[in-house]
Formats: sequence, structure tokens, C-alpha cells
Amino acid sequence: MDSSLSSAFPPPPSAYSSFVTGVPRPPPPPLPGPRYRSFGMTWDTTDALPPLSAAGIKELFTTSADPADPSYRVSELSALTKSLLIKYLELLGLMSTAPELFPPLVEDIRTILLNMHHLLNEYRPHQARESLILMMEDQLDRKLAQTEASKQACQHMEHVLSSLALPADPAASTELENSSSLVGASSHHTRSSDTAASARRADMRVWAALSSQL
Amino acid sequence: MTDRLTQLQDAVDQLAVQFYSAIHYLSTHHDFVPLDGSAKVSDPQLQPDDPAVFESAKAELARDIMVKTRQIDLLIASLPGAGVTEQDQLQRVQRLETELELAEQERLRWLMRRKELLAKCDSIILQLTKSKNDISSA
Repeated sequence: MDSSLSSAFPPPPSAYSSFVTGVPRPPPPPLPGPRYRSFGMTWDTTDALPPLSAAGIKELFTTSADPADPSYRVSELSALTKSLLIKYLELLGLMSTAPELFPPLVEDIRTILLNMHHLLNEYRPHQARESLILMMEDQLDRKLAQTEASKQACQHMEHVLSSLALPADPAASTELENSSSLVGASSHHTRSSDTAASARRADMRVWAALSSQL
Repeated sequence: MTDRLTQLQDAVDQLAVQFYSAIHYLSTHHDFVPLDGSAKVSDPQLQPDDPAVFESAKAELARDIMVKTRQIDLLIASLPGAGVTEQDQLQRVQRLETELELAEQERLRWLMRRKELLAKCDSIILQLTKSKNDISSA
């Protein structure tokens, strides 16, 4: 400790000797069971919320008979809140008469607070599922709105196209044009005036449709 | 905005801090009461507040603790989905999943239709410009 305080730079972590180059040193064997080491601590790979009793803390709440039913937590939480206030009042009273007797009361308050936090942490999976449901409902609403917008845009376009009264199928119309240009190659001059007239009519229809939309 | 559980846990922590600061204030700002016949003691590390200030500060600390407790009660009462069981939730998620899939198919169908119509509009515009060019070149 002294050397680490007096040296200009902090010492390397104690595990450094496992990584010195040139020194053949086997890494420490993996821990048995579903556990791993990180920064000198051992962790459990299974993501579980251990019961309070595992940490040596008294459980102050009674779980309901049905573990799937979370409603007991609400009543237990409000009961714990009231106990917390009462314990604090007791502590205040005690501090004014016999302040040296505070440790058990502070310990009680600590236990109550830990119990409340534990109950809330137990609630988290429930809350996560609830949030998931809300997000999915949101997504569904968005998708439905988009479908509705597409539907309306399609109807709008169909309406404009039908008011043009042009051939609905572009492939068929180009075919028609191709065949007519093949047939009418010789009579080009006589046909061009027809084309001009029909194109003008088509033009007028397009303008009429557009101006009705503006 | 954080979720209600985190809000509630934060509120509980804040209540604990308020407990501590209330006791801290009381023990560092109280005045001394002289015993019969003896002089009033004093402590150089302790600056007693004016009695009126002390009383009002005490009342304020107590009121803050009560407000925080009410807030905690309110948050507990509004915990989401308190009356819903896990099975209910999972069934709901499954139902939403199928609904989402159907909605997605419907959405894609209409998007395709939209693209088709757009292509039709394009071809009509091209057709028109082509015939216009034909006229002007004729």
C-alpha cells in the first residue's frame, strides 16, 4: 500500500504476472460451474435475481401462493412504506432520549429499504413484458396507418388515371403503338395528323385531370 | 423519462437521503437547554439556529418527508399492469405478433400496388411526351 502511494504511477493490476511476455505461465483454470472471473470478482453467468435470504437479509414480505400473480407486491410495498416511516419516527424518538441505542433501528430501516428494492427488482420482468406490449401496439398502429395512407394514395392515383381514360395497361398500349407503326410505315404522313389530334386530346385530358387536382 | 419502477426506486432512495439529512440538521443546529441551576452548555462545532428558524426548518423537513412518502404511495398505486398475470401478458404478446405479421403483409401488398400505379403514371407521361415530340417533328 505504501509503495503504491509513493510511486509516481499506480501499480499494474495484480493479475499482470499472467500476461508478462517471455514467461511461460498458464492462465488460471476456468472456474467450475456457470461462473466467470472479471476484475478479481466472480460472477454468475445465469442472469437470476437471488432471493434476499441468499444475501443474509430478512424477507419482510409474504409472497402470494400463486407465483405468477404479481398483485401481492403492491400491497406489500405500501405496507413496507408505512413501516419505514414508523421505524424512522421510532429512531427520531430514540435519538432524543438514548442516542447510543440507534444501531438496531438503523439496521431495521436498512432491511426495509433493501426489501423494497428487492420487491421492485422482482417486478422488472413484469414491467419489461408490459413495455414490450406497448411497443408492439405502437408498431401495429404505425403499420396500419401506413397501409391506410398507401391505400388512399392508390385510390387517388386510380381516380386520376381513370379520369384520363387512357389505356390502363401500359404494356398493351405500347404494343398497339408498335404494331400501328409497323403497319402505317408507308402512310406516315396521313397518320401523323391523326396522331397529333389524338395526342392533343390526351394532352387536354391530362391538363383537365391535373387542374382538377390543384 | 425513466420507467415507473426506476422512478419508484429513486424516490425510495431520496426518502432515505431525506431521513439522513433531517437527522443531520437536527443534530447540528439544535439549541441547548440548561439544566436547573447550571449554565447553558455550548459546543464550538455547533451553531444553534434561531428558535423560530429551527422550528420552521423542522416543519419543512417533516413536510418534505411526507410529500415524498405520498409520491411513493402514488407511484406504487400506478405500477403498470399490476392486475395482469404473466400468462395474460405472454398471450397478449403472441396475439400482437400474429397481428403484426398480417399488418406487414397488407402493408407490403399496398406498397406494391402503389409502385405499379406509379410505373403506370410514368409510362403515360413518357407516352405523352413521345407523341408530343412526334407532332413537333412532323
